[in-house]
Amino acid sequence: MEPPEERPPSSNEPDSPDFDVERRWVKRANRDADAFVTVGDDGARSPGEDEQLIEEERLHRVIPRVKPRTTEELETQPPPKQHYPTHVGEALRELWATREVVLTFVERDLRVRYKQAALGAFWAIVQPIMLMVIFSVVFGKIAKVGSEGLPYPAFSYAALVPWSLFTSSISYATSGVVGNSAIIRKIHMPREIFALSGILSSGVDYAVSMVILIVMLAFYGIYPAVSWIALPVVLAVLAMLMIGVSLVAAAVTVYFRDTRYGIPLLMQILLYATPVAYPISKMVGPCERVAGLTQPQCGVLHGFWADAYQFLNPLAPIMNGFRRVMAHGQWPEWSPLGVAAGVSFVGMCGAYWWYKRIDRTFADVI
Amino acid sequence: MSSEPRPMVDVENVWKRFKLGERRKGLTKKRTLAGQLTAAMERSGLKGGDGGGAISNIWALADVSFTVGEGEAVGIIGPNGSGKSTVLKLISRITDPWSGHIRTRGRIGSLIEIKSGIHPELTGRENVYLYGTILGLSRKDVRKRFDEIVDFAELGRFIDTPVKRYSSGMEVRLGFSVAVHLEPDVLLIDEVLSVGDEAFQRRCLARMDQLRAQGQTLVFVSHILPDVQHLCPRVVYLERGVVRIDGPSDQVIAQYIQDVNARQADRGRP
Repeated sequence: MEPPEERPPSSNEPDSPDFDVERRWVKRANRDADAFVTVGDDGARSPGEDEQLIEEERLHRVIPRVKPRTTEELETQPPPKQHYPTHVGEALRELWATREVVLTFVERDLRVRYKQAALGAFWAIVQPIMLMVIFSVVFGKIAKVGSEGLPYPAFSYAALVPWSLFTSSISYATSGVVGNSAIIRKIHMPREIFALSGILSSGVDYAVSMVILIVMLAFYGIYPAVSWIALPVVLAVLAMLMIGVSLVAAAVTVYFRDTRYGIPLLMQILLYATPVAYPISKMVGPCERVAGLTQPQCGVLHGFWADAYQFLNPLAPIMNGFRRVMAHGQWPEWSPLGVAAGVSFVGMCGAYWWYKRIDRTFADVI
Repeated sequence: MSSEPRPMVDVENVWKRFKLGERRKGLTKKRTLAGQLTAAMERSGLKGGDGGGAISNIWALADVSFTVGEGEAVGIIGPNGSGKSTVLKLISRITDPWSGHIRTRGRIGSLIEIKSGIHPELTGRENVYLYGTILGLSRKDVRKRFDEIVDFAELGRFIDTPVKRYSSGMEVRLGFSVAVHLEPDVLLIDEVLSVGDEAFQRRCLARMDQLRAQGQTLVFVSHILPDVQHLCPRVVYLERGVVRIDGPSDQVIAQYIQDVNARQADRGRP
């Protein structure tokens, strides 16, 4: 690749006469601009001063500057804060009108992700595979948690694929909002676009992992079954949950960057609270006699808590549903999945409404 | 009244408050652990503070009203810190005001800082599509104007080179060329006509003249007074968040120059 022939214009660009006249008076007016710039909150540079210096450098002239007006300096009493209503319908219409932007962002994210990394898609799919290998050794061979009669690698990978979709969509959505802060500060568009495009671009990685899962199942002698037609249903429930959680995570990250450390930790806890590495019966199953053991084997949660678990962790029936549909060739357990769908839907609507309520001033704080 | 052009932008009694530092720092000091610790140390006398510590508010805009009629070009001038860019942000709905109303008609196109939408890893061609859609063009529109955009930017054979290999001048020209081909109902320009080399600046001004001749409604924020005077018959002079004068450009600009010089003279005294 030959380098571009041109370089940025040198800073001592020739003065045109009309620009020169103006520059002289502005310069005179600002020779000691610092004298009346004392806005800094810790005695150091005031906010925006660096930007001003850059701007002056770019314009080749000194810019007059004033202290912003504080509340004490107002000539009249400021009005109370006005609350502007949140119209979800209008927001959805606007989102639909900008659907091309969402697709452009997805395309950009994928291009950038696969252009920069030498192994492209490899990094996106290697994570669930590594977890599968670790789980196969730790839970399959050492702890022997059981795998519902399936080969353990197929058992765990069938749930790890949707699991990694869930976690990566949240991390892409969060970094999408913060990573595009320059755009949020400068250009108006529905701000949920950045979260949604993160979710969609993680869906592409998911598709690749899905192909690997199908190959792997075939390797263990598990071939496509009628139950696979239920996959879109389970996927839809997961999608609603992902959208809700991603919007909340992204909005919180705008205000508190702590989520960068908090979310991965939370995901790790959730991974072990969800039947991904172990069968769901270990968590909520009824007691069963197992050959060779004197004590009956029970789930750790009973009665009320076993029921509450389905509400509190909608991921459990979703992950279990994925495994049943893909690996067991069975229908999902409809009633827990239905509960999860309800929880996810309400969560998604609530999260969207809340996001639209606060996203109008993201540009001020991000 | 009937001779008045219908308003395209109507800014009515708009107030905008920022917490000090909020605009750039993400969080005010009070809300981070580090900020809390510093404040606690100052209170207990371990560390000398500036005595303050209370979050102070600044009013970027305090009761600002003006309208921009169809086909009108209005310049906004004023020293930095007067709320010029905030006005544009509110018109383009990047953020909401504290109180007041902003009504706009038609599609608002912002020609704000160029770099935000451009991604260094992508090629010039990919970036034209990316930036175009971000600014509100459909992919079809971009495709239709693609050659025009590339010609205006004078990128030629570098269009399939990743933007990270561009010189800063080329990058700015790329972004700007997309932006001037937007053709919105109201075009907002924030201090960007001064980008690139002088030849490119002249071409941008010429393009603006052309848009003006076609009846483009414009709101133009700039420190370069000759450009403002050239492009805008009417100027709004903002000072510390209030409209100081709103009138014909030569009068308003003369007043502005007088104010700046007077302030300088004040400071000249011992």
